Amino acid sequence: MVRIALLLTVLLLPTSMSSEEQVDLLARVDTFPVPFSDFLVRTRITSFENGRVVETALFDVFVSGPEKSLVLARRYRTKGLKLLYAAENMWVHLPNTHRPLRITPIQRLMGEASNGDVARLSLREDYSAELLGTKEVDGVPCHEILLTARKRSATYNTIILHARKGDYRPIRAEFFLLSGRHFKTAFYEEFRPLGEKLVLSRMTIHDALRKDRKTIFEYLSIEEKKLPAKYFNKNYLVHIKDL
Amino acid sequence: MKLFLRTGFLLMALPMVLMGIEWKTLGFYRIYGTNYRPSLFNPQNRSIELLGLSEGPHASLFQHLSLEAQALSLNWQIDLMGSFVLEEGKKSEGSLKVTQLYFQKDLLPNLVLIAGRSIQRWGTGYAFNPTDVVAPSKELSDPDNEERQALGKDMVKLEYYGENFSIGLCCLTQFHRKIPFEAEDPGLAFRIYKNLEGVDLSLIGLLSRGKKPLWGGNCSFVLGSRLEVHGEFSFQKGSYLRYHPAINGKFFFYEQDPLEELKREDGNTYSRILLGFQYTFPGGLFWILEYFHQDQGYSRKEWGQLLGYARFLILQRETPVRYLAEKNILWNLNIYSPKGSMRDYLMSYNEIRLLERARARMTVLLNLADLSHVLIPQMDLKSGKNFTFYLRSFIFQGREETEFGAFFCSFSIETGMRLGF
Repeated sequence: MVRIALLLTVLLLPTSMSSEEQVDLLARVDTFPVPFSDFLVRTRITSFENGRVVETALFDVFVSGPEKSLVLARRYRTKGLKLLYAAENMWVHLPNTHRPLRITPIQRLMGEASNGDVARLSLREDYSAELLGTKEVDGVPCHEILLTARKRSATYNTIILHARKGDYRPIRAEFFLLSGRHFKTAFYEEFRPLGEKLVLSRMTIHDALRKDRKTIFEYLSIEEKKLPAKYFNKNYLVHIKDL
Repeated sequence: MKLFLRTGFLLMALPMVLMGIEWKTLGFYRIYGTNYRPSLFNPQNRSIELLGLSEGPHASLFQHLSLEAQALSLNWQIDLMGSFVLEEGKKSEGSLKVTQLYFQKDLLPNLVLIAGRSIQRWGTGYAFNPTDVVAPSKELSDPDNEERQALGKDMVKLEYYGENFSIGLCCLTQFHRKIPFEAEDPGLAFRIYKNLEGVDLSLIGLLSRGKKPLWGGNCSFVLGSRLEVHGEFSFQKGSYLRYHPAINGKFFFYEQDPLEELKREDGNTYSRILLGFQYTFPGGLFWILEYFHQDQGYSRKEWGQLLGYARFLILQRETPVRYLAEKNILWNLNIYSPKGSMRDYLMSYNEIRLLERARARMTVLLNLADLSHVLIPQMDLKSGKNFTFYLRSFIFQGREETEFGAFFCSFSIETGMRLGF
């Protein structure tokens, strides 16, 4: 009886974790969308409404360590748009304008995709983790992890992430706003091998309120690439010509 | 027609593709009309002809071509703007100007040189930029230069981009097309930028020949998930704007330009201040609000003296020299600036997408001293990837003796399309 009570306590109560364990947990989740420290991922985003394609866009996302990323729109309604994330700050540069503008990660880029969904691939830097327990998601036994924003650069206030037991592969994530409103749900659908690693290749984000809307992220190619520091400086955004 | 257009663009594009040149072109084709009204500065609506303006429908065609290429290990940018204006009862006029022509070179991985004619923006404000010392002036109806009318400044700029800071030094001038080339207003500007705890901070200075230095700073940051806040300030000893002597009680009869730098050596420090924010509402409504103050502008008293001068000249209309008085009134029109010539203004810009392809915009500029204002409503309708149809109006409102109430134009309306490839 005592053993059953102890087991129930472990399963039902949030498990307190040390910060090292939190980092380790999210580091394992992050290996799927963030396989290297410095890399380029070509991302195709397609938004749907009532099953009809509304818009398709192609972005090159250059990631530089945990704190910086640069997004270049290769095919988009605003071709040449650039997004920069650096040290908790975000800017956009619209083509043919001559200065970058401050923006926030939650602002919509297209479909259900916010700026932060495209530019911020790592969860480890922006959120603290708390293991809630285990739960079966679509027949897959998962850890249920509560992520709480710890930096202002976090796109969402709270995320409930389901990661597969064993390898911490992300399966599903529910995104919540500061008001507590369930905003979106992401499904991590496809993975593919990259050398010895397994990387995320397709994710779909559904609008929690408008059920007829969804946006598919396809990570078409990933390669290790390191850019000089200037590319991650907001004043250089307007001068990028050779990428 | 489609086949003709496609063949034309293919023929244009082919040599550029072969030479590895990236190109973009954008055309603006519009028809417009303006309603002029009698005012203190336009008695009996007669000044319009002397200003070279005419009523009735007008048409203009602007074609912008932007080329980017790599040659001699340099990145080149060339922007050309061709225009053709047709006005009823007048000879049509065409022009071609080079709005940008510069090269960019990485001297070190993070040290970049730019030389040539270039449009650079150092300010953080939308419509007003007290610290944009290297930039061409902005149009209130097109602060982002979507219509490509801005003419770059001629400069040599060296900027080092660090982790979260940059230091830029810029020698600038403006060359004219006359031969031999003449350089105007040479100056040396610098900017030190640093992101400090999420706040973009810049210190800016401009040293110009024959003028006192201008110093300033700007900042921008975000609060929460939808609010961006920005500010700019600058100050300079003396004002180098040109003023009408009427503000000192001096009245002129003659045709020579009476505007002078009256406040250049008065020992006062003149500042410009901008405070503003941008907010995106949950429904998608985008709002920018800016307060702008300039010590250099006309005070209420000075404005009153200008109006007194205009009244005085109207009384001289019976003078034997037929247009003597009237031409002096026209010089007074130089007191107008598209963004206000007095001291305190509020600018509001709203934008909302109505349908997937339609966008409504409204810009309001309010003179806080006399509550006269300019309204600029605009509607854009996108068709396909390359066409945008638009309808825009400028409406100047206010009591008879206010800044925008006394303006010689009451409203204008224009419609046209933009075609970009």
